[in-house]
Amino acid sequence: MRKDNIYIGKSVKAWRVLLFFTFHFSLFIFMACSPHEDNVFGASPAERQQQAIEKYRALLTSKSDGWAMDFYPSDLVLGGIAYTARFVGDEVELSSEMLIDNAKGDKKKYAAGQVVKSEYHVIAGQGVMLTFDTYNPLMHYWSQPSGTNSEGLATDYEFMFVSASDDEIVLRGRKYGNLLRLYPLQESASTYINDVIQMRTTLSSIPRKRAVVDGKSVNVTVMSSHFQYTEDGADKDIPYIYTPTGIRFYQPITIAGVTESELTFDTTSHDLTSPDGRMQLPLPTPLEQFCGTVTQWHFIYGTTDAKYDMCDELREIVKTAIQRTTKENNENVDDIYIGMNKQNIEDDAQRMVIGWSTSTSMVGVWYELRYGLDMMVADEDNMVIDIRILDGGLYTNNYPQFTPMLDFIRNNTPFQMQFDNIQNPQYVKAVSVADAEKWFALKL
Amino acid sequence: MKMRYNNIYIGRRVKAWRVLLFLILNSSFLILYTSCSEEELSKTSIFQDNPSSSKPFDNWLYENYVMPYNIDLKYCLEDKETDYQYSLVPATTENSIKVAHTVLYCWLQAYDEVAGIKFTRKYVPKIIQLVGSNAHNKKGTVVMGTAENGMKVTLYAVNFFKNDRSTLNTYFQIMHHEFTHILTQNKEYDTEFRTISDGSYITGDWSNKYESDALAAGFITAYAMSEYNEDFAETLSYYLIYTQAQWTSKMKLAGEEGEAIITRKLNIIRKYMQTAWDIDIDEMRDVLQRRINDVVAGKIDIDSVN
Repeated sequence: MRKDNIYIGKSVKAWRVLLFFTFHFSLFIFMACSPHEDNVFGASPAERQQQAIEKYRALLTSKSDGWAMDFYPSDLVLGGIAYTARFVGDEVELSSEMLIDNAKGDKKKYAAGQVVKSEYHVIAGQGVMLTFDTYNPLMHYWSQPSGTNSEGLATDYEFMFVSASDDEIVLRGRKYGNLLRLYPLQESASTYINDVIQMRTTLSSIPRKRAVVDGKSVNVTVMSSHFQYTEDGADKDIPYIYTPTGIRFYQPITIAGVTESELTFDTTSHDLTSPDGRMQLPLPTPLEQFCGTVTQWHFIYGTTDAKYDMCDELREIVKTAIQRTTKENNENVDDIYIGMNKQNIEDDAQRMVIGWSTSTSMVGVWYELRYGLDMMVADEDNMVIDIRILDGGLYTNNYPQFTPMLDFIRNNTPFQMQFDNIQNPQYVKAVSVADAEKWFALKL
Repeated sequence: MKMRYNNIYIGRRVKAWRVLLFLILNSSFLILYTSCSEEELSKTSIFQDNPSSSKPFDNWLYENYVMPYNIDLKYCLEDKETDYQYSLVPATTENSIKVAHTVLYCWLQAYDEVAGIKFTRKYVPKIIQLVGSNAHNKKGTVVMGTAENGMKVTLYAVNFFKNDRSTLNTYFQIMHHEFTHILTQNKEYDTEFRTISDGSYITGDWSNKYESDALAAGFITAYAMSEYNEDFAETLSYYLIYTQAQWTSKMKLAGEEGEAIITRKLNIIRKYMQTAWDIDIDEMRDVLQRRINDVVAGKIDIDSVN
């Protein structure tokens, strides 16, 4: 009996194991074969991709005037460049606020606002992409390679859709991540481009150094399509683009807890103001304008002592520097200046400099040497500024004779600025606050 | 009694398990066979073909590339179709039309004329990708064309295309060079070829050599010094695109020793093309020269696709 019991017991266990596996296998079948499987997205990925292609294509072609296209090419050093894009059938008509000198491409120049047609396609790639896939100099200028620069300006011509609505389309470059943002045009493309150029001319001539956020003054630097400020101890540098009404940021900026995406130019007060009114960038004072000048103020010197418009000490320093440059570098000093770097921003990121230009006996060969400079208003009421000299640029080591001139400024800052005409200055005398005998004059 | 009771009890339980197992198995398989087979597939493909193009160039390509040769000539640039290391720009439609005409007349139809259209159809690469810019690499050299496994040829610098002898020579040297690779990948050539300049191949250092150095060493170009397959393709392609006068002048530059080496290589190539492919390279050269001259002289309309 006992034996039987054991036998039957084992037999029941085997059934149970079999039943267990059979039951789970059947569950698998129930799940795998369920004919009424719910599709989370309502359609297969391929169908949705095809639908997205059709939707985006329809959206792009839906605007009869086309789109304003905020384009941030290359490594953002130039900020944003305003484009327009009108999509008709398989063709796109582009225009740009920038004169495109396509020397490395078709060797032609394309004026600002000139419309150039090419093809575009909306295709499946990484997600859905907008590609400018036949040559358009306005778009492909940025990716044109050359013998000296195999990457060109490292810019995309294929863009992935990030978001799309009737009011805004956001795209990101597939290879380099360049940003492209489209807004429906409210006017013709040519009017838009002209308005942008006008706004760029108005705003870029007067860099701004101060923001007022909820009534509190904050130091910022707004020039060359870059908005620089410090937030929580970290330096921020946000590129922006000019629009017909003001500027729009690459990404929202947050200063003192206030976040803004764009600023509007007030043609009466000349202030830049955010839509909610919490952030203003007032028109700089004459002193602030001098500190952020976009031109060059030149030192005054000549072949005789009388032509030097500076104190005796500095005159001897500068005279020696010029003589040594002729003798040791075999170059003539053509200009000594304070202000905007003459070098393009692509070649040298330092914007405010103290520099000198030299030329050789060979026609067309000249050199630009410069040290970075930071000029800040120290006392607005008394017209005092502080001048700080920063790092030397390329090849300045070859010109040690200019070091005493830099030391003179280092040792005698701050300076009181005496302008000939406060509203429209052409000449200024900088006199050391510590010692009135130390001074130099500059002219535009 | 107790035992019997136990027996009966166990027997019932076993029966119950069996019934349950039977039901589960049957229902599972019924569902497997019925429910899955009932699902109907949509008759519409999720992949929608592009609507037939109304663009004259697309229609022209269909009639002149797709139908006769089954070649997809891509003039719109997709970055993923190219080598990721290069920054490139697309070709202009205008120049793509010129290149498409020229490639058809001076390359495809030249082989049709000498070897028959069946040969051309079978061996030409099925994708020709046009690119507007040169492909510059960081070493400072420029790639004018590439071929991938006999399937695809990429032609660069289309935006710089000019209807002159020099430009056409550059293009067709590339095309014949790449096509030679396809042919030699299909039928081996005499291994004696690789022994002729054995020890003189310098791989990547070719870019530091002048043409005169190469010629004197028995190579038709500096690039031919990179390795023997490139040497083979360079020698044949330059033989085809040079006029007899140009070839003779290069041989003079090569000097007695250099010319002897190049001629030895050319003889192997001539024999290979004749025996493996029934192509007389001198006849091929005459046909190609005539066709290039026709294009340069403006006898062929390379602008119209209507």
